[in-house]
Amino acid sequence: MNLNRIVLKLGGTIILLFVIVLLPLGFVIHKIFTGFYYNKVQEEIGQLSTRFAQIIATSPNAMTVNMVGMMSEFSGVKLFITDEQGKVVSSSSVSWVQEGTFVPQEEVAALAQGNSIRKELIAPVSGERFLVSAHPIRSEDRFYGGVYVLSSVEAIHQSLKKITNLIVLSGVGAFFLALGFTIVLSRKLSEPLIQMERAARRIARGDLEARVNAASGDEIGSLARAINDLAVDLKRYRDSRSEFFANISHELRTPVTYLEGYAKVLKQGLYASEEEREQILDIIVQESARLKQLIQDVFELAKMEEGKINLQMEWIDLSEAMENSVRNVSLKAKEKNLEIRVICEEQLNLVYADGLRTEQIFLNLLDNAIRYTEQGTITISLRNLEGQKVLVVVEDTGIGIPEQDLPYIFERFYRVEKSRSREYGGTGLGLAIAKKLMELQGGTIRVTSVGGKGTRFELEFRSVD
Amino acid sequence: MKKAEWIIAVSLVVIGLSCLTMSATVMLNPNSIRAYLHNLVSICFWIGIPVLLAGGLVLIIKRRGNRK
Repeated sequence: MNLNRIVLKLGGTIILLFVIVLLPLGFVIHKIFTGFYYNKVQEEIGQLSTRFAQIIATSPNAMTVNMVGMMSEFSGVKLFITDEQGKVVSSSSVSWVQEGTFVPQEEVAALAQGNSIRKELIAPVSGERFLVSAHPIRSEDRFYGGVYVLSSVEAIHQSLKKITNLIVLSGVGAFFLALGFTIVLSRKLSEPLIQMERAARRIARGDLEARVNAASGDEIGSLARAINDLAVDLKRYRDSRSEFFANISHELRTPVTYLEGYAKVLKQGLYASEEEREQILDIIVQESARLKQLIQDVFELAKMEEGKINLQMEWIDLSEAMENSVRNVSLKAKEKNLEIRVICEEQLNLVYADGLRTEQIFLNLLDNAIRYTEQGTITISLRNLEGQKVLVVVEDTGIGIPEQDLPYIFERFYRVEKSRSREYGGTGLGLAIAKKLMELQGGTIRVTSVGGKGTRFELEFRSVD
Repeated sequence: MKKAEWIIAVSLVVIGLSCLTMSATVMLNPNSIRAYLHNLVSICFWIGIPVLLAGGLVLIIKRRGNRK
Protein backbone atom coordinates (compact mmCIF):
# COMPACT_ATOMS: atom_id res chain seq x y z
CA MET A 1 0.00 0.00 0.00
CA ASN A 2 1.38 3.36 -1.05
CA LEU A 3 1.41 5.68 1.98
CA ASN A 4 2.90 8.60 0.04
CA ARG A 5 -0.48 9.87 -1.13
CA ILE A 6 -1.98 13.34 -0.88
CA VAL A 7 -5.26 12.04 0.57
CA LEU A 8 -3.40 10.30 3.44
CA LYS A 9 -1.18 13.32 4.08
CA LEU A 10 -4.16 15.68 4.12
CA GLY A 11 -6.31 13.39 6.26
CA GLY A 12 -3.39 12.61 8.59
CA THR A 13 -2.64 16.30 9.05
CA ILE A 14 -6.26 17.13 9.89
CA ILE A 15 -6.50 14.24 12.37
CA LEU A 16 -3.12 15.15 13.90
CA LEU A 17 -4.29 18.74 14.40
CA PHE A 18 -7.51 17.47 15.91
CA VAL A 19 -5.64 15.18 18.36
CA ILE A 20 -3.22 18.02 19.22
CA VAL A 21 -6.23 20.11 20.24
CA LEU A 22 -8.28 17.25 21.74
CA LEU A 23 -5.69 15.82 24.16
CA PRO A 24 -4.79 19.06 26.00
CA LEU A 25 -8.47 20.03 25.96
CA GLY A 26 -9.34 16.68 27.59
CA PHE A 27 -6.60 17.21 30.18
CA VAL A 28 -7.86 20.72 30.94
CA ILE A 29 -11.49 19.55 31.21
CA HIS A 30 -10.35 16.79 33.61
CA LYS A 31 -8.45 19.33 35.71
CA ILE A 32 -11.46 21.67 35.78
CA PHE A 33 -13.73 18.84 36.92
CA THR A 34 -11.23 17.65 39.58
CA GLY A 35 -10.72 21.18 40.92
CA PHE A 36 -14.44 21.89 40.89
CA TYR A 37 -15.25 18.63 42.71
CA TYR A 38 -12.52 19.08 45.34
CA ASN A 39 -13.68 22.65 45.97
CA LYS A 40 -17.28 21.50 46.23
CA VAL A 41 -16.38 18.83 48.81
CA GLN A 42 -14.14 21.27 50.72
CA GLU A 43 -16.98 23.78 50.72
CA GLU A 44 -19.47 21.16 51.94
CA ILE A 45 -17.33 19.87 54.81
CA GLY A 46 -16.39 23.49 55.63
CA GLN A 47 -20.08 24.39 55.90
CA LEU A 48 -20.77 21.27 57.99
CA SER A 49 -17.90 21.97 60.41
CA THR A 50 -19.05 25.62 60.73
CA ARG A 51 -22.65 24.57 61.35
CA PHE A 52 -21.68 21.92 63.97
CA ALA A 53 -19.31 24.39 65.65
CA GLN A 54 -22.09 26.98 65.83
CA ILE A 55 -24.51 24.38 67.34
CA ILE A 56 -21.96 23.47 70.01
CA ALA A 57 -21.08 27.16 70.62
CA THR A 58 -24.72 27.94 71.50
CA SER A 59 -24.48 25.48 74.40
CA PRO A 60 -20.91 24.31 74.94
CA ASN A 61 -21.41 21.25 77.16
CA ALA A 62 -20.93 17.46 76.94
CA MET A 63 -24.55 16.82 76.08
CA THR A 64 -24.47 19.04 72.99
CA VAL A 65 -21.17 17.43 71.93
CA ASN A 66 -22.75 13.96 72.25
CA MET A 67 -25.85 15.11 70.38
CA VAL A 68 -23.74 16.49 67.47
CA GLY A 69 -21.77 13.21 67.49
CA MET A 70 -24.98 11.23 67.20
CA MET A 71 -26.38 13.48 64.45
CA SER A 72 -23.23 13.06 62.38
CA GLU A 73 -23.27 9.30 62.93
CA PHE A 74 -26.87 9.12 61.69
CA SER A 75 -26.14 11.26 58.66
CA GLY A 76 -22.91 9.36 57.90
CA VAL A 77 -20.66 12.39 58.37
CA LYS A 78 -17.17 11.65 59.62
CA LEU A 79 -16.13 14.09 62.32
CA PHE A 80 -14.31 14.50 65.61
CA ILE A 81 -14.53 17.27 68.20
CA THR A 82 -11.66 18.61 70.32
CA ASP A 83 -11.67 20.69 73.47
CA GLU A 84 -9.67 23.88 74.03
CA GLN A 85 -6.46 21.83 74.75
CA GLY A 86 -6.77 19.91 71.47
CA LYS A 87 -7.92 16.69 73.13
CA VAL A 88 -10.46 14.65 71.11
CA VAL A 89 -13.69 14.56 73.14
CA SER A 90 -15.94 12.95 70.55
CA SER A 91 -15.22 10.91 67.43
CA SER A 92 -17.91 9.80 65.00
CA SER A 93 -17.32 7.27 62.19
CA VAL A 94 -13.56 7.92 62.43
CA SER A 95 -12.22 4.73 63.97
CA TRP A 96 -8.55 5.76 63.86
CA VAL A 97 -9.09 8.96 65.89
CA GLN A 98 -9.65 7.81 69.45
CA GLU A 99 -11.19 9.92 72.16
CA GLY A 100 -8.46 11.24 74.49
CA THR A 101 -5.87 11.67 71.77
CA PHE A 102 -4.53 15.12 70.93
CA VAL A 103 -4.39 17.08 67.69
CA PRO A 104 -1.18 19.05 66.89
CA GLN A 105 -0.72 22.18 69.04
CA GLU A 106 -0.22 24.51 66.03
CA GLU A 107 -3.75 23.53 64.87
CA VAL A 108 -5.12 24.29 68.33
CA ALA A 109 -3.37 27.67 68.24
CA ALA A 110 -4.83 28.44 64.81
CA LEU A 111 -8.33 27.44 65.91
CA ALA A 112 -7.93 29.46 69.13
CA GLN A 113 -7.20 32.51 66.96
CA GLY A 114 -10.52 31.91 65.17
CA ASN A 115 -9.05 30.50 61.95
CA SER A 116 -10.49 27.56 60.01
CA ILE A 117 -8.18 24.74 58.91
CA ARG A 118 -8.14 22.85 55.61
CA LYS A 119 -5.79 19.88 55.23
CA GLU A 120 -5.37 16.30 54.08
CA LEU A 121 -5.02 13.37 56.49
CA ILE A 122 -3.91 9.80 55.87
CA ALA A 123 -5.43 7.04 57.99
CA PRO A 124 -2.54 5.31 59.85
CA VAL A 125 -3.53 1.69 59.19
CA SER A 126 -5.61 1.66 56.00
CA GLY A 127 -3.66 4.49 54.34
CA GLU A 128 -6.96 6.01 53.23
CA ARG A 129 -6.73 9.74 52.41
CA PHE A 130 -9.21 12.31 53.80
CA LEU A 131 -9.96 15.95 53.18
CA VAL A 132 -10.35 17.71 56.53
CA SER A 133 -12.07 20.97 57.41
CA ALA A 134 -11.86 22.23 61.02
CA HIS A 135 -13.78 25.15 62.48
CA PRO A 136 -13.27 26.69 65.95
CA ILE A 137 -16.03 26.55 68.61
CA ARG A 138 -16.23 30.05 69.91
CA SER A 139 -18.79 31.80 72.03
CA GLU A 140 -18.55 35.31 73.46
CA ASP A 141 -14.83 35.51 72.59
CA ARG A 142 -14.11 32.29 74.42
CA PHE A 143 -12.50 29.34 72.71
CA TYR A 144 -14.01 25.92 73.51
CA GLY A 145 -12.27 23.72 70.92
CA GLY A 146 -12.83 22.69 67.27
CA VAL A 147 -15.02 20.57 65.03
CA TYR A 148 -13.14 18.46 62.42
CA VAL A 149 -15.24 17.16 59.50
CA LEU A 150 -13.63 14.62 57.16
CA SER A 151 -14.44 13.45 53.64
CA SER A 152 -12.76 10.46 51.97
CA VAL A 153 -10.56 11.40 48.99
CA GLU A 154 -11.08 7.87 47.66
CA ALA A 155 -14.80 8.56 47.29
CA ILE A 156 -13.98 11.75 45.42
CA HIS A 157 -11.57 9.81 43.22
CA GLN A 158 -14.24 7.21 42.47
CA SER A 159 -16.62 9.91 41.29
CA LEU A 160 -13.88 11.62 39.32
CA LYS A 161 -12.86 8.32 37.73
CA LYS A 162 -16.37 7.94 36.40
CA ILE A 163 -16.26 11.46 34.97
CA THR A 164 -12.80 10.82 33.51
CA ASN A 165 -14.08 7.68 31.81
CA LEU A 166 -16.96 9.66 30.31
CA ILE A 167 -14.58 12.39 29.13
CA VAL A 168 -12.40 9.71 27.50
CA LEU A 169 -15.51 8.14 25.91
CA SER A 170 -16.65 11.49 24.53
CA GLY A 171 -13.07 12.16 23.33
CA VAL A 172 -13.08 8.82 21.48
CA GLY A 173 -16.50 9.71 20.06
CA ALA A 174 -15.25 13.11 18.90
CA PHE A 175 -12.17 11.42 17.37
CA PHE A 176 -14.30 8.95 15.38
CA LEU A 177 -16.63 11.74 14.31
CA ALA A 178 -13.66 13.83 13.13
CA LEU A 179 -12.13 10.78 11.42
CA GLY A 180 -15.37 10.13 9.50
CA PHE A 181 -15.65 13.74 8.36
CA THR A 182 -11.90 13.89 7.61
CA ILE A 183 -12.12 10.89 5.27
CA VAL A 184 -14.85 12.62 3.26
CA LEU A 185 -13.15 16.03 3.39
CA SER A 186 -9.66 14.85 2.44
CA ARG A 187 -11.10 12.76 -0.40
CA LYS A 188 -13.14 15.67 -1.73
CA LEU A 189 -10.23 18.15 -1.43
CA SER A 190 -7.66 15.87 -3.03
CA GLU A 191 -9.94 14.52 -5.79
CA PRO A 192 -9.36 17.47 -8.21
CA LEU A 193 -5.59 17.24 -7.66
CA ILE A 194 -5.62 13.50 -8.35
CA GLN A 195 -7.78 14.10 -11.46
CA MET A 196 -5.31 16.72 -12.67
CA GLU A 197 -2.36 14.43 -12.03
CA ARG A 198 -4.02 11.67 -14.07
CA ALA A 199 -4.96 14.07 -16.88
CA ALA A 200 -1.41 15.52 -16.96
CA ARG A 201 0.02 11.99 -17.17
CA ARG A 202 -2.37 11.14 -20.03
CA ILE A 203 -1.37 14.35 -21.81
CA ALA A 204 2.31 13.51 -21.26
CA ARG A 205 1.68 10.08 -22.83
CA GLY A 206 0.23 11.83 -25.89
CA ASP A 207 -3.51 11.54 -25.17
CA LEU A 208 -4.30 15.18 -25.91
CA GLU A 209 -8.07 14.61 -25.67
CA ALA A 210 -7.69 14.26 -21.86
CA ARG A 211 -9.50 17.02 -19.94
CA VAL A 212 -10.00 17.94 -16.28
CA ASN A 213 -13.40 18.87 -14.89
CA ALA A 214 -12.76 22.44 -13.68
CA ALA A 215 -15.93 23.18 -11.72
CA SER A 216 -14.62 25.45 -8.96
CA GLY A 217 -13.61 29.06 -9.46
CA ASP A 218 -10.66 28.98 -7.04
CA GLU A 219 -6.94 28.36 -7.66
CA ILE A 220 -7.54 24.62 -8.15
CA GLY A 221 -10.20 25.36 -10.79
CA SER A 222 -7.80 27.81 -12.43
CA LEU A 223 -5.06 25.16 -12.47
CA ALA A 224 -7.50 22.67 -14.05
CA ARG A 225 -8.41 25.21 -16.74
CA ALA A 226 -4.70 25.89 -17.34
CA ILE A 227 -4.11 22.14 -17.86
CA ASN A 228 -7.07 22.01 -20.28
CA ASP A 229 -5.73 25.05 -22.16
CA LEU A 230 -2.30 23.42 -22.29
CA ALA A 231 -3.84 20.25 -23.76
CA VAL A 232 -5.74 22.31 -26.35
CA ASP A 233 -2.56 24.24 -27.28
CA LEU A 234 -0.52 21.06 -27.51
CA LYS A 235 -3.20 19.46 -29.68
CA ARG A 236 -3.33 22.50 -31.94
CA TYR A 237 0.48 22.50 -32.15
CA ARG A 238 0.59 18.77 -32.94
CA ASP A 239 -2.18 19.04 -35.54
CA SER A 240 -0.60 22.08 -37.15
CA ARG A 241 2.81 20.35 -37.19
CA SER A 242 1.35 17.24 -38.86
CA GLU A 243 -0.54 19.43 -41.30
CA PHE A 244 2.58 21.46 -41.96
CA PHE A 245 4.64 18.35 -42.77
CA ALA A 246 1.86 17.02 -44.99
CA ASN A 247 1.60 20.38 -46.80
CA ILE A 248 5.32 20.93 -47.18
CA SER A 249 5.89 17.43 -48.56
CA HIS A 250 3.04 17.95 -51.02
CA GLU A 251 4.25 21.42 -52.04
CA LEU A 252 7.82 20.18 -52.52
CA ARG A 253 6.83 17.00 -54.32
CA THR A 254 4.83 18.78 -57.04
CA PRO A 255 7.62 20.99 -58.52
CA VAL A 256 10.14 18.17 -58.09
CA THR A 257 7.83 15.84 -60.06
CA TYR A 258 7.52 18.47 -62.79
CA LEU A 259 11.28 18.93 -62.89
CA GLU A 260 11.90 15.19 -62.98
CA GLY A 261 9.31 14.60 -65.72
CA TYR A 262 10.43 17.42 -68.01
CA ALA A 263 14.10 16.60 -67.43
CA LYS A 264 13.42 13.02 -68.57
CA VAL A 265 11.60 14.36 -71.66
CA LEU A 266 14.65 16.45 -72.50
CA LYS A 267 17.09 13.63 -71.77
CA GLN A 268 15.24 11.13 -73.95
CA GLY A 269 14.59 13.74 -76.64
CA LEU A 270 10.83 13.26 -76.53
CA TYR A 271 9.95 16.68 -77.91
CA ALA A 272 8.64 17.40 -81.38
CA SER A 273 10.26 20.73 -82.14
CA GLU A 274 12.80 23.25 -80.94
CA GLU A 275 9.91 25.46 -79.84
CA GLU A 276 8.53 22.71 -77.59
CA ARG A 277 12.01 22.20 -76.13
CA GLU A 278 12.15 25.91 -75.27
CA GLN A 279 8.73 25.66 -73.60
CA ILE A 280 9.91 22.70 -71.50
CA LEU A 281 13.01 24.60 -70.45
CA ASP A 282 10.81 27.58 -69.47
CA ILE A 283 8.70 25.28 -67.30
CA ILE A 284 11.83 23.83 -65.66
CA VAL A 285 13.09 27.36 -64.91
CA GLN A 286 9.70 28.43 -63.51
CA GLU A 287 9.38 25.36 -61.32
CA SER A 288 12.96 25.74 -60.06
CA ALA A 289 12.22 29.37 -59.15
CA ARG A 290 9.01 28.30 -57.44
CA LEU A 291 10.86 25.58 -55.49
CA LYS A 292 13.56 28.06 -54.47
CA GLN A 293 10.92 30.58 -53.37
CA LEU A 294 9.05 27.89 -51.38
CA ILE A 295 12.20 26.79 -49.56
CA GLN A 296 13.07 30.44 -48.87
CA ASP A 297 9.55 31.13 -47.49
CA VAL A 298 9.55 28.03 -45.28
CA PHE A 299 12.94 28.98 -43.92
CA GLU A 300 11.80 32.55 -43.21
CA LEU A 301 8.62 31.40 -41.50
CA ALA A 302 10.47 28.82 -39.38
CA LYS A 303 12.93 31.51 -38.26
CA MET A 304 10.06 33.87 -37.37
CA GLU A 305 8.17 31.23 -35.41
CA GLU A 306 11.27 30.29 -33.44
CA GLY A 307 11.92 33.97 -32.76
CA LYS A 308 15.32 33.78 -34.44
CA ILE A 309 14.68 36.58 -36.90
CA ASN A 310 16.55 39.83 -36.31
CA LEU A 311 14.61 42.94 -37.17
CA GLN A 312 16.46 46.18 -37.88
CA MET A 313 13.88 48.47 -36.29
CA GLU A 314 14.18 52.13 -37.21
CA TRP A 315 11.97 55.12 -38.13
CA ILE A 316 11.11 54.64 -41.80
CA ASP A 317 8.95 56.33 -44.42
CA LEU A 318 6.28 53.87 -45.57
CA SER A 319 5.70 55.72 -48.84
CA GLU A 320 9.31 54.93 -49.87
CA ALA A 321 8.91 51.25 -48.96
CA MET A 322 5.63 51.14 -50.91
CA GLU A 323 7.22 52.87 -53.90
CA ASN A 324 9.98 50.22 -54.03
CA SER A 325 7.47 47.41 -53.74
CA VAL A 326 5.22 48.82 -56.45
CA ARG A 327 8.25 49.20 -58.72
CA ASN A 328 9.06 45.50 -58.21
CA VAL A 329 5.59 44.28 -59.13
CA SER A 330 4.75 46.82 -61.85
CA LEU A 331 5.98 44.52 -64.63
CA LYS A 332 3.71 41.70 -63.49
CA ALA A 333 0.76 44.11 -63.27
CA LYS A 334 1.52 45.45 -66.75
CA GLU A 335 1.53 41.90 -68.15
CA LYS A 336 -2.04 41.46 -66.85
CA ASN A 337 -3.11 44.99 -67.86
CA LEU A 338 -3.77 45.95 -64.23
CA GLU A 339 -3.48 49.49 -62.99
CA ILE A 340 -1.76 50.15 -59.65
CA ARG A 341 -2.97 53.35 -58.05
CA VAL A 342 -1.13 54.78 -55.02
CA ILE A 343 -2.80 57.43 -52.84
CA CYS A 344 -0.44 58.74 -50.19
CA GLU A 345 -1.18 61.41 -47.63
CA GLU A 346 1.17 64.34 -47.59
CA GLN A 347 3.29 64.55 -44.44
CA LEU A 348 2.87 60.84 -43.78
CA ASN A 349 4.22 60.04 -40.33
CA LEU A 350 7.31 57.92 -39.93
CA VAL A 351 6.75 54.42 -38.57
CA TYR A 352 8.96 52.31 -36.32
CA ALA A 353 9.64 49.18 -38.39
CA ASP A 354 12.19 47.15 -40.33
CA GLY A 355 12.39 48.68 -43.83
CA LEU A 356 13.27 45.50 -45.77
CA ARG A 357 10.70 43.37 -43.93
CA THR A 358 8.02 46.01 -44.50
CA GLU A 359 8.80 45.92 -48.21
CA GLN A 360 8.49 42.14 -48.04
CA ILE A 361 4.99 42.50 -46.48
CA PHE A 362 3.93 44.94 -49.22
CA LEU A 363 5.40 42.70 -51.92
CA ASN A 364 3.53 39.66 -50.60
CA LEU A 365 0.23 41.58 -50.52
CA LEU A 366 0.73 43.16 -53.97
CA ASP A 367 1.83 39.80 -55.41
CA ASN A 368 -1.33 38.25 -54.03
CA ALA A 369 -3.51 41.07 -55.37
CA ILE A 370 -2.02 40.78 -58.91
CA ARG A 371 -2.27 36.97 -58.84
CA TYR A 372 -5.98 36.91 -58.03
CA THR A 373 -7.07 39.94 -60.09
CA GLU A 374 -7.82 39.46 -63.78
CA GLN A 375 -8.96 42.97 -64.58
CA GLY A 376 -9.41 46.27 -62.82
CA THR A 377 -7.29 48.21 -60.41
CA ILE A 378 -5.14 47.64 -57.37
CA THR A 379 -5.49 50.62 -55.07
CA ILE A 380 -2.97 51.41 -52.35
CA SER A 381 -3.60 54.15 -49.83
CA LEU A 382 -1.39 55.37 -47.01
CA ARG A 383 -2.68 57.77 -44.36
CA ASN A 384 -2.15 58.87 -40.78
CA LEU A 385 -4.53 57.66 -38.08
CA GLU A 386 -5.30 59.04 -34.66
CA GLY A 387 -3.31 57.56 -31.80
CA GLN A 388 0.12 57.60 -33.50
CA LYS A 389 -0.69 55.06 -36.19
CA VAL A 390 -0.35 54.83 -39.96
CA LEU A 391 -2.87 52.88 -42.02
CA VAL A 392 -1.92 51.16 -45.26
CA VAL A 393 -4.73 49.73 -47.39
CA VAL A 394 -4.14 47.36 -50.32
CA GLU A 395 -7.37 46.81 -52.23
CA ASP A 396 -7.95 44.84 -55.40
CA THR A 397 -10.85 44.10 -57.74
CA GLY A 398 -10.07 40.40 -57.96
CA ILE A 399 -12.00 37.20 -57.35
CA GLY A 400 -12.33 37.88 -53.60
CA ILE A 401 -12.36 35.42 -50.74
CA PRO A 402 -15.50 33.60 -49.53
CA GLU A 403 -16.54 34.68 -46.04
CA GLN A 404 -16.09 31.19 -44.55
CA ASP A 405 -12.43 31.15 -45.68
CA LEU A 406 -11.49 34.56 -44.28
CA PRO A 407 -10.50 33.36 -40.76
CA TYR A 408 -8.00 30.89 -42.23
CA ILE A 409 -6.29 32.80 -44.99
CA PHE A 410 -3.30 33.74 -42.79
CA GLU A 411 -2.61 30.06 -42.02
CA ARG A 412 0.31 28.35 -43.67
CA PHE A 413 -0.51 26.68 -47.02
CA TYR A 414 -4.18 27.61 -46.76
CA ARG A 415 -5.73 28.02 -50.20
CA VAL A 416 -9.27 28.99 -51.01
CA GLU A 417 -9.33 26.96 -54.20
CA LYS A 418 -6.95 24.06 -53.66
CA SER A 419 -7.62 22.58 -57.12
CA ARG A 420 -6.52 25.82 -58.86
CA SER A 421 -3.48 26.54 -56.72
CA ARG A 422 -1.03 25.70 -59.50
CA GLU A 423 -2.96 27.83 -61.94
CA TYR A 424 -2.60 30.89 -59.70
CA GLY A 425 0.90 30.00 -58.45
CA GLY A 426 2.39 31.18 -55.18
CA THR A 427 3.65 29.13 -52.26
CA GLY A 428 0.69 29.52 -49.90
CA LEU A 429 3.01 31.12 -47.33
CA GLY A 430 2.94 34.78 -48.39
CA LEU A 431 0.06 35.92 -46.15
CA ALA A 432 1.31 33.82 -43.20
CA ILE A 433 4.70 35.55 -43.51
CA ALA A 434 3.05 39.00 -43.85
CA LYS A 435 0.97 38.45 -40.68
CA LYS A 436 3.92 37.13 -38.70
CA LEU A 437 6.10 40.09 -39.75
CA MET A 438 3.37 42.59 -38.84
CA GLU A 439 3.02 41.00 -35.39
CA LEU A 440 6.78 41.01 -34.83
CA GLN A 441 6.86 44.74 -35.66
CA GLY A 442 3.98 45.47 -33.28
CA GLY A 443 1.45 46.13 -36.03
CA THR A 444 -1.81 44.51 -37.08
CA ILE A 445 -3.22 43.17 -40.33
CA ARG A 446 -6.92 42.75 -41.16
CA VAL A 447 -8.75 41.49 -44.18
CA THR A 448 -12.22 42.06 -45.60
CA SER A 449 -13.48 40.65 -48.84
CA VAL A 450 -16.56 40.33 -51.04
CA GLY A 451 -16.64 37.27 -53.30
CA GLY A 452 -16.27 38.29 -56.95
CA LYS A 453 -15.68 41.97 -56.10
CA GLY A 454 -12.30 42.11 -54.46
CA THR A 455 -10.26 41.94 -51.28
CA ARG A 456 -9.05 44.68 -48.94
CA PHE A 457 -6.07 44.31 -46.59
CA GLU A 458 -5.61 46.92 -43.84
CA LEU A 459 -2.26 47.26 -42.10
CA GLU A 460 -1.68 49.43 -39.02
CA PHE A 461 1.84 50.53 -38.10
CA ARG A 462 3.05 52.35 -34.99
CA SER A 463 4.11 55.86 -35.91
CA VAL A 464 5.42 59.11 -34.49
CA ASP A 465 3.80 62.55 -35.04
CA MET B 1 -15.25 8.39 -3.46
CA LYS B 2 -15.87 4.66 -3.59
CA LYS B 3 -18.88 3.02 -1.92
CA ALA B 4 -16.64 1.27 0.64
CA GLU B 5 -15.08 4.60 1.63
CA TRP B 6 -18.52 6.14 2.13
CA ILE B 7 -19.54 3.17 4.31
CA ILE B 8 -16.38 3.53 6.44
CA ALA B 9 -16.85 7.30 6.81
CA VAL B 10 -20.54 7.04 7.72
CA SER B 11 -19.82 4.17 10.18
CA LEU B 12 -17.15 6.25 11.90
CA VAL B 13 -19.53 9.20 12.18
CA VAL B 14 -22.25 6.93 13.63
CA ILE B 15 -19.79 5.37 16.13
CA GLY B 16 -18.58 8.84 17.11
CA LEU B 17 -22.13 10.11 17.61
CA SER B 18 -22.98 7.03 19.71
CA CYS B 19 -19.95 7.52 21.96
CA LEU B 20 -20.76 11.21 22.44
CA THR B 21 -24.45 10.52 23.14
CA MET B 22 -23.60 7.72 25.56
CA SER B 23 -21.18 9.86 27.54
CA ALA B 24 -23.75 12.68 27.67
CA THR B 25 -26.55 10.35 28.83
CA VAL B 26 -24.82 7.99 31.30
CA MET B 27 -24.54 10.42 34.23
CA LEU B 28 -28.13 11.70 34.25
CA ASN B 29 -30.50 9.16 32.69
CA PRO B 30 -28.57 5.97 31.98
CA ASN B 31 -31.65 3.81 31.39
CA SER B 32 -33.81 6.19 29.39
CA ILE B 33 -34.02 5.74 25.61
CA ARG B 34 -35.84 9.07 25.39
CA ALA B 35 -32.96 10.93 27.08
CA TYR B 36 -30.51 9.11 24.76
CA LEU B 37 -32.44 10.18 21.65
CA HIS B 38 -32.84 13.72 22.99
CA ASN B 39 -29.09 13.97 23.52
CA LEU B 40 -28.45 12.47 20.08
CA VAL B 41 -30.63 15.11 18.43
CA SER B 42 -28.96 17.85 20.50
CA ILE B 43 -25.49 16.69 19.46
CA CYS B 44 -26.56 16.57 15.80
CA PHE B 45 -27.91 20.09 16.23
CA TRP B 46 -24.57 21.31 17.61
CA ILE B 47 -22.78 19.63 14.70
CA GLY B 48 -25.24 21.22 12.27
CA ILE B 49 -24.68 24.79 13.50
CA PRO B 50 -21.11 25.18 12.11
CA VAL B 51 -22.13 23.31 8.94
CA LEU B 52 -25.06 25.70 8.39
CA LEU B 53 -22.89 28.75 9.16
CA ALA B 54 -20.19 27.60 6.73
CA GLY B 55 -22.81 26.83 4.07
CA GLY B 56 -24.39 30.26 4.49
CA LEU B 57 -20.98 31.94 4.25
CA VAL B 58 -20.13 30.03 1.06
CA LEU B 59 -23.48 31.03 -0.47
CA ILE B 60 -22.93 34.71 0.39
CA ILE B 61 -19.41 34.66 -1.09
CA LYS B 62 -20.66 32.92 -4.26
CA ARG B 63 -23.49 35.44 -4.73
CA ARG B 64 -21.08 38.35 -4.29
CA GLY B 65 -18.71 36.72 -6.79
CA ASN B 66 -21.56 36.34 -9.31
CA ARG B 67 -22.59 39.99 -8.89
CA LYS B 68 -19.04 41.14 -9.67
